[in-house]
Amino acid sequence: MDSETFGTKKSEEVKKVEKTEINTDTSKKSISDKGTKNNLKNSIQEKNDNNNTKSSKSMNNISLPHQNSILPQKKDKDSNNISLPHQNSRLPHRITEKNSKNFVAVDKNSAEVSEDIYENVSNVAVNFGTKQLEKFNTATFATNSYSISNTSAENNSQKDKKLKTATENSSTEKEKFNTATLEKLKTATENSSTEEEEIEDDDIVVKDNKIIIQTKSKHKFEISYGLAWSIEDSTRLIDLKVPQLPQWVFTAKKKDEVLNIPVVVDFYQMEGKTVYYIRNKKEIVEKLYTFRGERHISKKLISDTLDIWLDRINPSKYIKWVDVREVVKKYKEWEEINQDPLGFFLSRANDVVGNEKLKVAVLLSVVSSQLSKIRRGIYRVHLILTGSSGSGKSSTIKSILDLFYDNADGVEDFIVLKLTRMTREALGRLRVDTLDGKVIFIEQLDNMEGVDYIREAMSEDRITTLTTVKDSEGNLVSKTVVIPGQPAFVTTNVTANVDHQIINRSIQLYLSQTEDEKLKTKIIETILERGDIEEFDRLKLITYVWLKTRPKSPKMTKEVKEELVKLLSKFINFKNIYRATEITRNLVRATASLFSHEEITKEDVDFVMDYFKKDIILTTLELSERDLQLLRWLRDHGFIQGEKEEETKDVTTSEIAQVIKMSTQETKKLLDVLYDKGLVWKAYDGRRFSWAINRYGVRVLEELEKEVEEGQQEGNGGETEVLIDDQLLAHISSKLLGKNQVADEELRGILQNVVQATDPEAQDLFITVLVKKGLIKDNGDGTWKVL
Amino acid sequence: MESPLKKVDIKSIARRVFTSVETHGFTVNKHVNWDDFNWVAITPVGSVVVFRDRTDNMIYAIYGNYKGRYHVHIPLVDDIYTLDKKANDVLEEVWNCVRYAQCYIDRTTKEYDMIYNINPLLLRGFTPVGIGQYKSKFEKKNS
Repeated sequence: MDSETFGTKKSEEVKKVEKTEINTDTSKKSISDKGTKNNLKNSIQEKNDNNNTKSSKSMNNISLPHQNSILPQKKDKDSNNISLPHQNSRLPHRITEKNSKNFVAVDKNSAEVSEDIYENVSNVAVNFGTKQLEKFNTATFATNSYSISNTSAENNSQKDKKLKTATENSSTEKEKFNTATLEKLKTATENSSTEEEEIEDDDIVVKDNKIIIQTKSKHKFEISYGLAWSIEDSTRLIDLKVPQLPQWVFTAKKKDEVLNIPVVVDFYQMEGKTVYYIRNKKEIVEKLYTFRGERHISKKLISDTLDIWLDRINPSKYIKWVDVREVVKKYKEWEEINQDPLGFFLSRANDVVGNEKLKVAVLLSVVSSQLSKIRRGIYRVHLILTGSSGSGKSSTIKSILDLFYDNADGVEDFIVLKLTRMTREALGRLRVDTLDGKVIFIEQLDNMEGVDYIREAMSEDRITTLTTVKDSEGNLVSKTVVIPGQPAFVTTNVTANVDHQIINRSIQLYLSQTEDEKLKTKIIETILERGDIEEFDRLKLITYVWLKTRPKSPKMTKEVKEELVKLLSKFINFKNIYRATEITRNLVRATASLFSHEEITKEDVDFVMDYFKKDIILTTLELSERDLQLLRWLRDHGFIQGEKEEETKDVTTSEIAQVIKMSTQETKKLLDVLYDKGLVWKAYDGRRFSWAINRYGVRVLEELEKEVEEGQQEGNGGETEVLIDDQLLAHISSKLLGKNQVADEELRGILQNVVQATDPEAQDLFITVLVKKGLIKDNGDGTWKVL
Repeated sequence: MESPLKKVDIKSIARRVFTSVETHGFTVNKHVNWDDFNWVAITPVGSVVVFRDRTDNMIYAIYGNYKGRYHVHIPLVDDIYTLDKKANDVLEEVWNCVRYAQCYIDRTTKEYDMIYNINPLLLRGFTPVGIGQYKSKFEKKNS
């Protein structure tokens, strides 16, 4: 292509620019006005459109829609067609950006030329026309910035010609400017709002692959841009999908300096609309501002430019969504986690030795956080881990929770919200869409202020706060803040001083200091071996996908229901039975979900009972395992309330404190709670309190032990299983009361009466059962010893 | 070795020999050999229904999960058998009832001496000497 072509093009450009001026003129009044701003944008777009159509008419090869900018190689070829040899530079990516421009390379001369022009128009102070001239200049500059300094002589000559045309054009423009300026000045004085108008006078031109900023005083700043690649934003996991965000590269040039800035366009959802924004915009503006070289270009102008650019490029078509399920399928751990989820987590949590039960509980709590809502009540597994300081509560919890995304990971759809401190009102004003699917881990519940909220959030399906706020007129009005959903709570505490409403909504697990010497050594070894934080990112992505693909609502089968009713009806007279039923149901659901069962199976129930039977019973009694240990210690050491006061053998608080390795104050609190529950007896001699287990306490202990032992017996094997009704057995044994031994005949007679066992075979069967139950023993001489 | 069938048999026997009876608004299980004389004790800790075994005249107190104000009419027998601990508690409570003079023993009846509760309204103004509900070890030690 020869220089003439460029000349023609140039004049076309000038005409076009003139055209646009009219548009801009109408919109100039107030840029701060949104509507007008849009007009301005429109006009710019229109301008660009004109630009495109015009250039495509004149030269089809040149005009490339900006989408093509993602294909640099192709463009390279095109650029050759434009016959701008000097543009085949050493910087291919910049060439791709400039090639679609119609502008002419002016190269070194351009600076002088622009200075000339500057001088010519410098008298025109606030001038709309200046802008036009600027634009013209910019065209020249623009090419300059892209051209390589080593331009050929041929090019220089081309440019000279072009410059002439440019100057000619500018002179005609100048006349126009003067008139415009006068008018403008008038208006300025009338309105006396100079600052606004200064902004108005700035012009921003966004073209394919290029942004041009011009100030009223004809200073300009040019940035070229091109789509570089897209980045997967793994922190934005939404419905198992991650967005791929487009990344542009902004290139600005001044003299020998080149500035490249990667610009990532991000988005967020607000009221159903997608709002796009530039990530680190402030930083980018700052960089461009520092680089600009023209002090008349303000930060605000650059910032506005970026907004207009963003509007122009239509980012929505660049953002794609990738399914993470496809991503994790490639990892070998994915297979492992699906085959043996429990093993997967326990093996990865082995930096904390032992405490398997607690780890399982935490895992179930996490899984339960994903379960679908149940109509009313608690539908998550809430945990309270109690134990003395340093017993490894937090470490145990974290060993599992660390395998999931938490709030510190910056993932939008995080699983775990770790809190070490919380102010009173904080939970009610948490900025999350829903609490469903979240696990809130609170360290040291004792120190928490917002405990009231926790209690609410544990059993309700939302946190609703009615507060008063000031409206725009300063009047106080009520406002309801609602956070829907129920999170799963995992928390630790040292003292027993937790609101009992929180306790009866959760499973309280107790972690005692280990007494096993071997295990102690192993723990010490592991503590010493604990290395740096491993790269958990991949693991967390796997666990995330695994967690999100669990069955949401495992069905309760008839068989399981019967099984649970049978188990729970034993405790029907206990105080907290309904809560315990809820908790058991949640545990069973979570277990089924953990093992990918769409229907709850008997194995799930067995699994829960294996691990948590004792804790479920304790929950029905609103006791913790520590309370149980304390009661057992009192009983086993004979500190039992007697029939008469003198018979009671009691023990002081400090003595108990020494045994359970806690401070006297905390021990007193623990014992007071037990006293309130009517399990211990206490007395005060004016100086100190003394304690003993009372009869009710002993009885509770016995019942509990019976249940737990029964469970253990059942676990030992099916053969020892005795399917005899308790009442029936008691009835039989009542007939043996007061007898040291009983003859076989008599025994069979009793059985005949009591159980209507007329058949000797059936009688034998009952005798076997009685022997197994330890009620009678064969003397070997045809008589039975009553035990 | 027990066959699974026999295990089932034992359970079914238990189901066969015990039947449930409803009295005073609650239900208890009763052996088929037991006679029902409408002997009931309702206390704040629970209630019992007392039956007599017709084969050996043994007296059984069966626990029922019903708590209420004292409503007692049971025989006073030396050996009253309980099949679980809760029934014991109720009987103990009946003794407390007697001790605190909220129940009395009727020795005029034909077969057994009977324990009846007193209408609480009749107790107004009656203060038993030496014992009372304010007697508490804790209070005593503190005072």
